[in-house]
Amino acid sequence: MIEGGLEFVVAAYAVTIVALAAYARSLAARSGNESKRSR
Amino acid sequence: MITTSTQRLPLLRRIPWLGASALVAAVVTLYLSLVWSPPDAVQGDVARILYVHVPAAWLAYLAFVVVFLASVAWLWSRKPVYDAIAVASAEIGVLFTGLVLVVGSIYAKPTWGVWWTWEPRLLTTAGMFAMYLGYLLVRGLSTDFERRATRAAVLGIVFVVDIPIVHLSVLWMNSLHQLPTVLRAGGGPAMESRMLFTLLVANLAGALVYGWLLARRVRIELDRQARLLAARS
Repeated sequence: MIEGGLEFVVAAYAVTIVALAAYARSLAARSGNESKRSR
Repeated sequence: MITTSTQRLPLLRRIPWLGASALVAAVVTLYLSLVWSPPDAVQGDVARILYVHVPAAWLAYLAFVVVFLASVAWLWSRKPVYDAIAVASAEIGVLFTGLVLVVGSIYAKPTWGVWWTWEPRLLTTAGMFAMYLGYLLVRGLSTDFERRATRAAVLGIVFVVDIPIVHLSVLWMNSLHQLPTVLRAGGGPAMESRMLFTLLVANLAGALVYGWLLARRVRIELDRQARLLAARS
C-alpha cells in the first residue's frame, strides 16, 4: 500500500476548490459588467 | 428575425436554490471523501483524489454532450437560447477538463511515479481539452451572430465523437491508466460499497455545481445576446 501522500490529496482538493471558486467569481464579475453595459 | 428571452428557462429562476444545494452537497462530499470513505487497499489515502478526479471527468463528458444537444437544437430551431447553452456548457466543460488533467497529474505522481506520461487516456483527454478550447476561440472569429453560432454548432456536433474515444481508449490500446471501474462492460462496479457511495455523492454534487454554473453562464450570454441584438436593430 502507498504510505502517506496526503500532500497530494490536499493539493488535488485545493486546486479543484480554487478553480471552481475563481470561475464562479469571474461569472459574478461578468454578470455585473453585462448589467452595466445593458443600461 | 432572431429574438432572445431569459424568461422561458425554468433553470434560470432557480439559480439561488441550485447554488445552495451545490454548496451543501459539496460539503457532504468533502466529509464523505476525506473522513468517512476508507483508504484504498493498494493506493491508501491517495485514492481519495478519485472523488474529485472522476466526477470532473464525467462532468466534462456531460458538458460536451450538452454542447452537442444544444448545437443540434440551434441548427434545428435557430433559437439563440440554444447557442447560449452551447457556449456556456463548452466553457464549463473546458474548466472541468482542465481540472481532470491537473488533478490527474497530481494523482499520477504518487501512483505512477511521474506527473505526465504519453499514454492513450491522457493524450485523448488533452486532445479533448484542445478541441473545445478551439471551439471557444472559433466563436471569436465572426461578429455575425448567426454565422458564429452555426460554425460553432458544427464543431460542437463533430467534437462529441471524442468522448467515446477518451472513455474507451483504455480498452482499445495498451494503457497505464486504470480501466473503467464503475461503467464497465460485463459486470457491476468493481469498488468497495462505501467508496462507490462516496463517488456517486461526489458526482451528484458535481452535477449540481455544473447546473449552477451553467444557469449563471447562460443568463450572462442571454443578456449579452439581447444587448447585441438591440444594438443591431
